[in-house]
Amino acid sequence: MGWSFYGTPKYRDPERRGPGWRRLVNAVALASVAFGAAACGSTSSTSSSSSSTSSSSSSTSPASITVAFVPGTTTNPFYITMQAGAQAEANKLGIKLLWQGGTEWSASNQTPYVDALLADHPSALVIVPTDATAMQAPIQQFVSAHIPVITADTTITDTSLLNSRITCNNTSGGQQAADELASLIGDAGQVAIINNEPGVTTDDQREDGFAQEMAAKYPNVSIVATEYDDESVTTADAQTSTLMLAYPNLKGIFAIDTPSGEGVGSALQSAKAEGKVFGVAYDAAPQEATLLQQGYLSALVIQQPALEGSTAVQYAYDLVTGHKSEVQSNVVLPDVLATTSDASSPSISKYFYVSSLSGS
Amino acid sequence: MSDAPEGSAMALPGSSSAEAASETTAEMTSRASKRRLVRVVERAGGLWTLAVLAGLILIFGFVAPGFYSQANWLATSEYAVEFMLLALGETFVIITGGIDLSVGAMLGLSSMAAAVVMAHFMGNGAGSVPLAIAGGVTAVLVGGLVGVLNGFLITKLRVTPFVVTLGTLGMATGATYLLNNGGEVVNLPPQIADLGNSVIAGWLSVPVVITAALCVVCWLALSRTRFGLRTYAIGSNPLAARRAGINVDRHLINVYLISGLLAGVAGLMVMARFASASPVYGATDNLTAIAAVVIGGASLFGGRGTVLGTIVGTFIVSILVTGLILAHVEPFWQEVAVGMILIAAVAADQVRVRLLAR
Repeated sequence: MGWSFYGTPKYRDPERRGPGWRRLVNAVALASVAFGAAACGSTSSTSSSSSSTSSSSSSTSPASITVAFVPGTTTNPFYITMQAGAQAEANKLGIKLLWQGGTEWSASNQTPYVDALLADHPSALVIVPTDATAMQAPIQQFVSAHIPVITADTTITDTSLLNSRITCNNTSGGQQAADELASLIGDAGQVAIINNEPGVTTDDQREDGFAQEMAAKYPNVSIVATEYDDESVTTADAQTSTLMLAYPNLKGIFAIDTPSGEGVGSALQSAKAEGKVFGVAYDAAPQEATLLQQGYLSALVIQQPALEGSTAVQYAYDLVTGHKSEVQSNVVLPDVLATTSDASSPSISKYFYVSSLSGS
Repeated sequence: MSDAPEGSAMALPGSSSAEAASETTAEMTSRASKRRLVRVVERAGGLWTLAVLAGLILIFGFVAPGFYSQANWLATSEYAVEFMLLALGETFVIITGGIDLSVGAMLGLSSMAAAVVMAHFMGNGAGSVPLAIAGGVTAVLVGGLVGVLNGFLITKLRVTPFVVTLGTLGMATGATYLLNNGGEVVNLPPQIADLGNSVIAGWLSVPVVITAALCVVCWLALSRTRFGLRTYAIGSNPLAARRAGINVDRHLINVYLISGLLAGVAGLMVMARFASASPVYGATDNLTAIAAVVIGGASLFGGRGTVLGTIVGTFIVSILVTGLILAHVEPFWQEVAVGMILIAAVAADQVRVRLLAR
């Protein structure tokens, strides 16, 4: 072997030297980062953890860390806001973020992106699984390749595959919506729900939370109808107008997501029904926020996608740099309730979703 | 219903009269009565689907209180606007024997393009009314451009309409996302919201009036002009149309242009209604638009279809959405009911076709 003509040793040499050399640079770089962070003190907010702890066991430089992040869809303001949070955190840590995903919420649409990312061999995967069971096989490939996996927003059935899962609590969000809507209508009367389509876990949890809370606490409130708009604003608008007609005593509508929220707000606006029929919607996409400020929607249950994104990237970094102890296996972030009266205050409006990264 | 398919009306009487000369008198009278039946059915034209629509209106009026109300008319007619405009363009395309799968994507792209243009100049303190007009022009132009691209690729590259418009569906959808990185555009000039939400005399919203005017224009174009006649001719037999001296390529490009322009208007109307542009606008509209045209009696093989039929088809589709809610039908049963009524409407039309073919 030693005398082979075409330079096997030549090929091998840099390989051998590489890691050692890189390790030295990494140690220096990381030490300086850690030192810098320590020097800055506790300026970093919320769950910032790893950057201020010791760098003894680390063997990876931030620049060589790549976190692959697969959102549910790339076009929803919720995920664009999540991307903004994730990107900001990645910039802060000096690591690379690979943001890849489909434009449509489905496992068949998402799987190719996950498969393709495996070929890049990222340091960690953060994913918003579009299906609790169908996405397990693609995720299993990463686990087999010893790549840590974190789920954000939604999750998969077999949580043993995961290093962490970060989510907002959809059930309690539905309960918050129920409490707010009940107080708006004086704890009595007919309400309706506009859902997206049957079988989406997060949406169903919101609906269940809403229905359970109403049943448990407000016996005089009855949910008279649930409609499905198939994520079409136009359909949600027509359904809302028609529901008000079908149930003349209707006092409130719970819109389960952004398109339904925008449709409900628009219909209440054109029916001039503000003050008579109250709309409470989930999420805070730009148009929903506008409708809230104008009073056509009375309240929004706002999730914290930016915090989900930044926490996921933070955890991915911690896992890769050997700070497993910093990572909680299950993080549930609280939802924020915004009403028309406080919609303009900065302490609330900072939670509104962004529609493009340039704006953040 | 006087714009019943002219292609079939021309063919029938001529072919049977020559044979009839050599028949016995008994056979002749039976032929004559049959011909009378044919003529009645023919004159009825789209009446079969109109009967389905009338039936629905009667039944809903009976079981759903509030169905005959001003509020329900507003909800139903405003809901119909988007599909009506897309289905109108689709009618021309389907009569030529083509299909346009990109109408929904063109709607999304044109509304997003218009919104991006308006949002961009809003910040520079430009006047609101000219800006709203600029947005409207942008929407229609963008729709028209994609339409011309469709027509050009179909006629010059000789790729089937299905493939071309499937391709431009993807391209237009991607372009919609690219325009604002997949985000929504809000904060449009208030004049745009006025356009989408003003109601004349309590019954007619402005988008509905605009759509109705475009329906009349399309009806005249298809049933009263040489352009319409050529559209049917190309759909019945493209080769014969070419031999007859019709510039088929140019005509097809114009037809896809019309589809694009109308999708652009639809994009403008949806954007005006919600005072925002979202990349999900129009995403699920393709099949609804095509279904409305087919329910209206058009043949996917070309040569057959009318604007009045499409109007009836669109109203059947829209009335089902609002009427079933008013009738307190469970949402899952709504889906079943919609499917059943779609098939029933087309089946009723097939009966007519069979009677005509006798």
